[in-house]
Formats: sequence, structure tokens, C-alpha cells
Amino acid sequence: MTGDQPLTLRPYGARALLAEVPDAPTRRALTAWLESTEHSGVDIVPAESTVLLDVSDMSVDESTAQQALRRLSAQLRDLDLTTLPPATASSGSLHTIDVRYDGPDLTTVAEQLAMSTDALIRWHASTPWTVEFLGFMPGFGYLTRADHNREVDRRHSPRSAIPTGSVGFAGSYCGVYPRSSPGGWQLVGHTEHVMFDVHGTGATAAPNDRITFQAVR
Amino acid sequence: MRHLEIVRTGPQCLVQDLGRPGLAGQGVTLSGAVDRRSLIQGNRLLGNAPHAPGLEVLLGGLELQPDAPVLVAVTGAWCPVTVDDTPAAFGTPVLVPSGAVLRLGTAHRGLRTYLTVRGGLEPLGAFAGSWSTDTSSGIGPAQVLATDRIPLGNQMLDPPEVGAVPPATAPAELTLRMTLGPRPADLSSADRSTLDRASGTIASNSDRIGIRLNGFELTGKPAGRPSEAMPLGAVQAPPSGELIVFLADHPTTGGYPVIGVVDARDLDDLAQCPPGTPVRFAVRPPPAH
Repeated sequence: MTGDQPLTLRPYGARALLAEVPDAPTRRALTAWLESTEHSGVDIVPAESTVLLDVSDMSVDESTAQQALRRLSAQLRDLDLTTLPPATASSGSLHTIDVRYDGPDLTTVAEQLAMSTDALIRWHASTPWTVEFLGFMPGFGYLTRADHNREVDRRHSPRSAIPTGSVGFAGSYCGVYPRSSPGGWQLVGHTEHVMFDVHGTGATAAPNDRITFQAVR
Repeated sequence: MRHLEIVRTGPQCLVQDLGRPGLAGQGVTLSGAVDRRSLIQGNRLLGNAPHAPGLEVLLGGLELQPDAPVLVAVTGAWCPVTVDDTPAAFGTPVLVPSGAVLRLGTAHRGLRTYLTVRGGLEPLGAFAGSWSTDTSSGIGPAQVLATDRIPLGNQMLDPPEVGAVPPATAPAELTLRMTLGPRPADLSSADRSTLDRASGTIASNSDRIGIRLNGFELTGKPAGRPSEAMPLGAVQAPPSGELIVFLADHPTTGGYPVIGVVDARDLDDLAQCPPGTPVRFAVRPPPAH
């Protein structure tokens, strides 16, 4: 499943290394491989086309951090990406999230995806979305689906306060705002589902998890 | 349970420990004291675990009363310290009797004073084993305000020390050691020489998220890339022309180009420097891996 282009490894300060990945399947497979192998003290932080390997615990001194990164980069150089098992949907958890499709940009998104609003709701809530990576704010997952291949424009002017639980689109991603924030995503609905539990377990979703949206009235 | 009762605060008073590393994959940043050295010094004086939570006090102006005798240490930016209006020592353990008023005056030659307490502070709002307030996401305890009652913890390892530490003094001019990366080849030779030669200043809109630097006018505009994760100390170069050195509460990901990473040892000093402080870079090539 993964490409045959190599990783590009870039030193990122004294305590981190940035791996540039050629494509999303490689990123998913590499993230899954890194998560399943022991790299004590090195955080694995995927994004769209990179994975940051960061010794973020500052109580680890710089020479220990460098040692860990040198060991990891040697392993990555020896790694044959074509032999990595593809990260499959079954490697993560499945979450079902109720959505009320009452977002202020529902018709705009429907137009950009060339559907009626009813068709958009049926399509959005039909098959599971995949969590690619998290970022921007605690618990904000960037979601994709193979049949979502049109780009949705960001709003020209970002809203100063997007309510907690808003479900939105931007570019090739769908996402749920875990808490209120300024933002430019186009909003199709909202959920009461807690996407980030500050009193307990933190983020609901992890990379390679799947999310099924369920329309409620 | 023993408490500190907050009578008055200055512009900003936060509970901070050494943060919550390891959660960037959830979008949760490190947070923690921005001058880590000063918090650790205070905890060491008191025999606390190095990561015990204390108060990060911006520009002084704090008044509090314990409801039991407590041993405290005041470190970081120097400020006058009094207990019931009697001058008390800075940078060494001080006993505050039950009901006495501990007052920190205005900070001098630095921005942030740390008040550590034997056993540490354990207010409501801990997340993932850390009591740090993350000002960017709201994770952790709320900002400390007058009338708050903050419970004390038991995060001690040793007996208190008989010792003293000097205040953290903001240097008149700061040199930041910066390692180029992650894409040093994207930096034009003109920009590289600007970083070597130019001097900038700390802008007033700096905070725990990042220190903004004016005066380094970089000309190169590297191609836009999708957002990617950034480590502590990353130096971002947005098109506005200012540079942003990311501190403890920085976003986990960013979309603007990053030109390098400031050495962790220099971030403590940077967090103590007021707006207007002149800043230079000492640029190093990336390490080999």
C-alpha cells in the first residue's frame, strides 16, 4: 500500500527530528509502526505530510535526547517502507457521534460538494471517517474519507467564536471543534459528544480511529 | 487540609509545574513554567519534587495568607518580599506563620517571580498528572484570582535545604543560541546573514505562547506547506516579518515556515526579558543524525 519513495529525515533542533512522508498511506503506516514499537521518551506527532519525533520531556537531558533520536533515525533509515503493513481502519477504535445538521454553512458546503443539503447529510452520516491526525487544539482531529475528494473553501473571514461541538469542513478535511475557538471552517452541524475530556481521558479520537456520524433531529 | 488564601494578585498569576509532555499527538501542548530553572530552584530549596506546582507571578503584586504555617521560597525575578510587613528573604526558604500575610511587591529586572510552597499546590483542574494552566487551550486550573483558596499537596522528596539562589536577572541584551532547521536550505544566504548580524527587540504582544521579535526582516518567502508539529523553542517566520519564538503554551502544530529552534537553556532567560529588550541570535548548523 505504501509508496516506494524514501522518508526524508530532518533534524529539528537538538531534541527532535522531522520525518517527511511521501503520501498519506505512508504516514498512516509509519505512525502505526512507530506507535507499536518501543521508542521510550520520543513523542510521535503526525501531521498531513510529516511525523515529528520529539523528546518533549525537558527533564531528559540533551545528550540522552540526541542518543534516542540517533537510534530512531538509524532504525528509520533501515526501514523498508514497502514492507510496512498498511494501517487499516481495523487498527483503531470506532466512535459513533450524533450530529444535528443545523450549521450556518450547510448550504454553502452542499453547493461546493455539488449536492443537495439532504444528500450532504445522508452522505456525511453514511460511512465512517478516518482520523488522520490531531492538532490545532486539544482533541481536534482531521478526518478524511476516500469519497471526499473535493476541496471546501475556508470562510473568507474567520468567525471569532465557533461554538463547542461544531462540525465543519475545510480543504479535504472534516473536523469537530472540541471547544469554542475562532476559526474559518464551514459549519454543517453540531454535536453534544465530548471530543476532549479535560476531567479524564483527554482526546476521544486517536490517529487511525474511525468516526461514524449519525443524524439526529 | 492546608490552603493558601489569595488576597490580591498582579496582572497574571498562574499555577505552573513542569507541564505535561507526551500529549502533542492529542493536540495538547507542553505548558508548565516558562522559566523552568526558577521553579526547579524553588522546589529544590524546599525539598519538593522538581515538578511540584507553584505560582508563576507576572510582575509581582501578590498577597496571600496561609491557614497553617507553611515554608515558601520566592525565586525568579527579584521582588520585595514581606511577611506581615516585615522584610523577608528572597531565594531562600521562609516560614510564613498561619494567618500571616505574605506579600510580593513589584518585580524588578525580570518579568516572572515563582512562589513555591513546601509540598506544592494542588488546586482543582489537574489534567494528565499536571497542574499547569495552559493559557492557549484552557486545560488545567483556572487563572489564580483574589479569594481563591488553593490546597497544598505532599509533593516533597527531601527535607528543605539550607541554601540560597540568586534571582533570575533579565540580561540587558540577550543572545539566543538557535539551531537551524528543519529545512535550513530554504533560508536564503541574505536571510542567513541577517540572522547572524541583525539585532531585534522583543515586542509587547509576547506571552506564554510565544515571544515576538521585531527587527529581523527576512526576505525569503518559502513555499507554503501543510501544517506540521513544532517542538518547544521553534522560531516561526510568518509573512508579517516578525519572528515568533514558541514558549510553553505554543500550539502543537503550525503552518508558517520555521527557521530554527532556540536552545532550551536560553528560553528561561527569554521568558524573563521585558518588551524592548535587544535580542541577537547565535546560529548553529543542525546536528547530524
